[in-house]
Amino acid sequence: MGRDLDYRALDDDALMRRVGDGDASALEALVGRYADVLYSVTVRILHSEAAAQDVVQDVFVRLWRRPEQFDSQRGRFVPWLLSVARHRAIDERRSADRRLRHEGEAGTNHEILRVPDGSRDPAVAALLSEDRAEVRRALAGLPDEQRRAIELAYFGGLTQREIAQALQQPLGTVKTRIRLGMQKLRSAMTGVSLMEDQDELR
Amino acid sequence: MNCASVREQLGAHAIGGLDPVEERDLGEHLRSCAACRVEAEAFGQASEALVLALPVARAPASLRQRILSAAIAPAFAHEGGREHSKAPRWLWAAAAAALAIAGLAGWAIALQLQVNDADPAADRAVAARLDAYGELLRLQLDEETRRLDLAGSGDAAEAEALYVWSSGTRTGVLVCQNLPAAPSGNAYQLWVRTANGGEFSAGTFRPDELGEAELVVRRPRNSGPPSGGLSELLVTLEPAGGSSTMTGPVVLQGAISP
Repeated sequence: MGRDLDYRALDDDALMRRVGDGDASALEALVGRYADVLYSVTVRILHSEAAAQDVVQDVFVRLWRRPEQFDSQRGRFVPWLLSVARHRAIDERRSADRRLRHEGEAGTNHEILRVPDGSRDPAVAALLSEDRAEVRRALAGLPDEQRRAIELAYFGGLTQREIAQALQQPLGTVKTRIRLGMQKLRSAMTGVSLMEDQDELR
Repeated sequence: MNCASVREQLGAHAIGGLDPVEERDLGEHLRSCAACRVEAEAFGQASEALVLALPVARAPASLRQRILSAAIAPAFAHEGGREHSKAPRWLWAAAAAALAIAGLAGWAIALQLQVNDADPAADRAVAARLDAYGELLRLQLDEETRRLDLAGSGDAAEAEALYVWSSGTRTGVLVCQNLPAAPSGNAYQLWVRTANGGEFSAGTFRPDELGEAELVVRRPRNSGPPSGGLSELLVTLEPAGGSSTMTGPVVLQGAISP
């Protein structure tokens, strides 16, 4: 059973192989490592702590039941996990928005991304270490309207066309904002492979 | 689409901003253009950076426990499941519910809280149930764990039970459901029958108002395995406090395969 094994020392791919073998301790290690990150993303999307917890739970339960969904040959674990959680939360949000609209409430309460200083939480401070500073600076340097359009797409699950409708802006304007904003982020990413060094997440 | 128009859209593509038609056209180009695929990957990593911009939310400690309870407990019932993972779903649903309340880390605290409550009898029942589910979870993590289904008979034809045990931990847990209420002055008693015909009591219990019951069996440290090995588990209805030999009707029974 390997109870003496130090799961914290295993990388994500090794933990996922163990999850595939039904090793509950490996799942526990992954939950310990990434529950906060997933929760941060899903709270942002859903604006509800309870709904976010449900989604994070669902993501990990599915991971446990169908670990083969992650294929290490096709990419790194963290981006994949984030993507699963984000899509799952966006789906949940869409159905919640539909319910709200049905009840006569608009579901378009989007705030603009805040850029954290990274000092509050040791784990996150590590995540936001020096070599990520360029990315943070680029993000902080984006004009608000570009950040807003990007967030509506990434965390709101809206297409450019839907954003244009929601903001009552021309589609071309929205496309330009997203294009310019993402190009700045992409330039800042040069030489920085986010989350590739998983030690920083521990 | 040519490369120039594709690259204008890669940012929106990375954050899911394209319409389905745009996405399809872009995907066709990416499949045939390695240079644009590299660029798309870079935009993908840029989109991941957006997560770093989030205010950090700390997931409540209870969430981790909820996840583990929900994931691991029903895994026993997972179809085509893992070795020693085939207990009925109702059992693990119940275990997960109990664990979600108690939390493994807060196990002792939960028990303490329960015991401090106003109704001592109810407290003991809750504490016993938590104890049983705690043992079940520990047994799930034990590779030596075996299980046995017990079928109801007679007045308890609707009853079913599961006995999960590990010789390594010297512990077993009986979980029953749909048991008829034990008449006043009576209790159910679990018996272990050995291969050479001997019988010994493993304890008594009473089901709750829903007909559910758990019994934790702990083999003393200084006792060896029964001579001849185990052959059968039985539950009978006996006078409260238990009998020294089986006297009442058998309500649950299951044979152990060697």
